Amino acid sequence: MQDRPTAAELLSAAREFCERELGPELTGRLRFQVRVMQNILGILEREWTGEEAAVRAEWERLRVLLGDRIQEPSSFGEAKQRVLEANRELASRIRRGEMDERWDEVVAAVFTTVAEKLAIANPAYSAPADSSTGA
Amino acid sequence: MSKAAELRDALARFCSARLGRSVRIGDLPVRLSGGASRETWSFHLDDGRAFVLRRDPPGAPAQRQLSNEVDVLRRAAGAGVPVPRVVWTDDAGELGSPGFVMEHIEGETIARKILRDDEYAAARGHMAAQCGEILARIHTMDARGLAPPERKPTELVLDQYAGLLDSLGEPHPAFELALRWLGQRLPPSERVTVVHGDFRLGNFIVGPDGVRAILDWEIVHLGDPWEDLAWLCMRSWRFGGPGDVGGFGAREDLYDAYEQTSGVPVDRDAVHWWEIMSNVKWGVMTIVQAFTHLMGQRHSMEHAAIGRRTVETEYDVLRLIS
Repeated sequence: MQDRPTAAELLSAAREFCERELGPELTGRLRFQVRVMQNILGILEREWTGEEAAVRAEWERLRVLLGDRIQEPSSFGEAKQRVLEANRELASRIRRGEMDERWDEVVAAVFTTVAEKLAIANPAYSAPADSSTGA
Repeated sequence: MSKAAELRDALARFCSARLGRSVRIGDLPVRLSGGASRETWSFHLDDGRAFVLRRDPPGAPAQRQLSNEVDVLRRAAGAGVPVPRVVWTDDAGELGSPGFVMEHIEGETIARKILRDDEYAAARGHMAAQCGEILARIHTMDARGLAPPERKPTELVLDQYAGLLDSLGEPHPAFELALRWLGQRLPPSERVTVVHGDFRLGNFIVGPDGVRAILDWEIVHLGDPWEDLAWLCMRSWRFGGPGDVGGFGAREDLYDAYEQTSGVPVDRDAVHWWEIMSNVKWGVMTIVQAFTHLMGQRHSMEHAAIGRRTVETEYDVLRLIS
């Protein structure tokens, strides 16, 4: 086991360096690129702490949707593999119209997963202030 | 020699030949952002005149015919659409790869600035109406040289993106739900017109007076005109701004101006359909862009990072179909 700082703490230090020291020194395209880099480091920080719980919760939702055919994963790595396979199965069932009868349930489950992905990829996007998406 | 220095020398030769006298290029040409597959450079002659070069990325195979973009720019001007004037074309690739030179139009293209700076406050107030009028004009453009769609544009786009998703191999249940929803609610799709295809902030030159020019005609095509209105309204192109239209305006201002200029009533349901489709399209494009990095075709941090924006469009499509 590594000493402190933890991975998330290191990422946070690198992100703050981009934000406070590197970014202000640059202009134009490079400044924009540093902003992209800051975002990447922010995603990794959140992913480091939140991804395992999110993947296991996603697996659980997929198991409910697809039935018990999908196996209980032992490790985090295996959980990611199972989730990928289950999503492939769910995607093709939706395409074939096989989930039409459980439409609301599927939309709700997929929405929960998407909201959890978004909380890591870009938490500001789902800010409660937004209410204007609908037509 | 740097890429910019090489280009400066090539531009000096190119412009001298076109003008019939020896001219020098002021400073090093500056690479502008924007344009997914074509490079954009700003430069000026020693007499102070400013120009913009659009060219295919040197070394990469051209994705689309350059002459189309040139031809379309000229026809857009003819239809009353504000666009930069094409000054010279370079089909032979004297500047490193095929491209063309346009006049420079002063103004801002960066969405964040247009949406937030005080300088553009007045412009923001009437840009939605201006966009409605410009789109109505684009949709009357001469379609010569553009291939008519083989089937209804709505059916075509659904098949195309389902196929693209399959070829990428990354499962996205949210997009599958959207495609299913869309397939069961196909709008009538009665008109086929010229469609800009990427009509949004980032591709507009804006001054304190409003939209001065429409740029980036790379993916202009014949299709369903409601596609353009919906694309402008989708959330990714609001760049965090408060208005439904591009982050700056109200839908009714856009629709009213469109109707007044074109005489065609806006089919709100069809625009809604295309807004959901637009989110699927942009979502799939973000996957494609991330894959161009992952497959090593074009190493770019920006392209890599965009793969994590796919989920934003998943979130929006699910809200729109719920």
